[in-house]
Amino acid sequence: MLEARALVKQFGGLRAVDQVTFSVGPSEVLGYLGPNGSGKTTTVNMLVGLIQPTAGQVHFGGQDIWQDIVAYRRRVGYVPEEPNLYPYLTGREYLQLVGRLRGLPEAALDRKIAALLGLFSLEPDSHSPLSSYSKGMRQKVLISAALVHNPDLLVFDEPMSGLDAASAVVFRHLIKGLARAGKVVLYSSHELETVERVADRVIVLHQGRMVAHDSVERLRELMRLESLEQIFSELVFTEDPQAVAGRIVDAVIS
Amino acid sequence: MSDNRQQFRLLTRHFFRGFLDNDLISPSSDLHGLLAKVAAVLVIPGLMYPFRLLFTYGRPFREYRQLDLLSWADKSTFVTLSLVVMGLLTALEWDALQLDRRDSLAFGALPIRSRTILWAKLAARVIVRNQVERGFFSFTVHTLVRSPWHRVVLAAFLGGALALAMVTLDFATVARDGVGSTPMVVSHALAMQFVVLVLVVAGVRAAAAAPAELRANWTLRLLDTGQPRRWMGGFRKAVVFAIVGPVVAAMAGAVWLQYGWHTAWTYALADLVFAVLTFDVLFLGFGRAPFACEFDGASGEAKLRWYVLAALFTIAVVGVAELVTLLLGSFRGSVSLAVASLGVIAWLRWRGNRAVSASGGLAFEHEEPGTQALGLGA
Repeated sequence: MLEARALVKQFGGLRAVDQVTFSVGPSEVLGYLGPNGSGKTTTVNMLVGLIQPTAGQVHFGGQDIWQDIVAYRRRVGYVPEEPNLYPYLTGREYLQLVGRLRGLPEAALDRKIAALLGLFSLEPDSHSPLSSYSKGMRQKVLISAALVHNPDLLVFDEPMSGLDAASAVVFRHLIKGLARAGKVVLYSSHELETVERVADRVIVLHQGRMVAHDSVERLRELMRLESLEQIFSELVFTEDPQAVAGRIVDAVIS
Repeated sequence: MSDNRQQFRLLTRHFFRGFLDNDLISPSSDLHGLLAKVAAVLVIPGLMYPFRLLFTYGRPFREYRQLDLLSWADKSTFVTLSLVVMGLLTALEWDALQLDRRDSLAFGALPIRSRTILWAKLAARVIVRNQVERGFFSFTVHTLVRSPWHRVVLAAFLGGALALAMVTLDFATVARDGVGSTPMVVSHALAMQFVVLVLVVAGVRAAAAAPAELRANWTLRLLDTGQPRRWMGGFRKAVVFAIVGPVVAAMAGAVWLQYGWHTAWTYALADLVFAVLTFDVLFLGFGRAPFACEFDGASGEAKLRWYVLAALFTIAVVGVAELVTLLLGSFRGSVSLAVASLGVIAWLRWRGNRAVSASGGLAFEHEEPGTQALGLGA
């Protein structure tokens, strides 16, 4: 089980994440929602051990991850928001780098890479440098790299950015499949439709603070709203989004 | 026939355009500024040098021997400058000579691979048995061979190595035999090789201090599973195999032509041991994950002691080479030299490993006095 306990991250005078507490267990998908700048990526960076919290703790399997960060990293698969990769490596070489540095046996690694490249339709470009890949293709490489070592915990930060419609559908099913296989899945995104379909529970973050934490159905009941989009708007927007959009149109055409 | 000729013309035009229009020359490229600076540095000698030549050769009534003596340094300078320019151009334009993805799509799936990379892949399978070492071995080779910035750094150091080697040769030969005397003393050839190797390894150090891709650093940070010795082991083997090996082989070929195969392979072995020793000296206290440190140490790391050591080395290298040549002349001397060198290497490696263990692993951030790291790990 992954647990965030009163997480706080302070950057100078800015409190990016403030007292965030939640837990997510095996076979469960937790949706982590919030508008731009709400602290989603900062939380994710703390969860995967890329940055340390100013206060609070992250526990996995009952242990503070920073007590043995090396052991924790072996169990985590992470897909970041931006597909920043080594541009001069090919897709296959990048996956080999990831698998080898994780100590996977060469034969098993080769088999896994071949399977993932084939399933993500990357095989024809597997010997091309990543600099020639589209954003969606780089995203698929990242997803493959996060899965190559069969991690217990998967953390996705806007994983579908750049994916085409067909790949996005496959990816939604993939998340559900990974959860069924017993993985702990945290899915951070602002794509409400996807989160609504794949997440068992959702957290809504606003200005670094949790403003909602429950299942989508229960939130619908509690707030007497039909969709996650309406719930999100109610929690996050101080103004009517339609009115704001109207004013933008006026500003553009005037 | 005319179709073939037209295709040939089109392809020539296509590749020539690719040669001129690469990422480095594009105004939007990150390295555009660097290229402008390099060009500026290269133009300055071209503007200033004619004045110097005028004062040197403009006087009448010079004897041939005097002119020969006077022109030795200038000849060396021109040869070296040409080599440096060619090296930099090759480093910058190497990618343009290869087929890219668009070319492959347009002209069919051609199995184009760099020979170095293929050779390195084979070596990775054969000589690097551990998976983590193999991962870092391949990563190092790919970075040094393909990353434009790292290639430029290596090319610059190799150019400097050739220049310093020529100067060393000039001083050593002129001091002993006078201008124009041949053949060169064999120990001077070894001194030249030592100079080249020190600068090549120093170039690798400068390249390793610069991140391969700063925004992709998160990858290696997450893949750091607490095996710094394996990472450094893979890195060291890659440097010896992909950088030092070819340089030693090229120098051994030159020595073989001049002095025969026995001297060539003896010196090649001495070169390899010397290169490994140099690597362990220069990387003692490096402490950072190669190509993955957030601070670009290549420009800010030069310390006074390095310049002092370089000056001392340039002065002492001829004497060292003469001593090594003397020891290599007998079996007992060769064994003593090998044992002493391997002992020093083992001691340096023990010290390096101890320092890395004491600091809790390889660093991904490097904070120099007066600079500020990004603080992402805080």
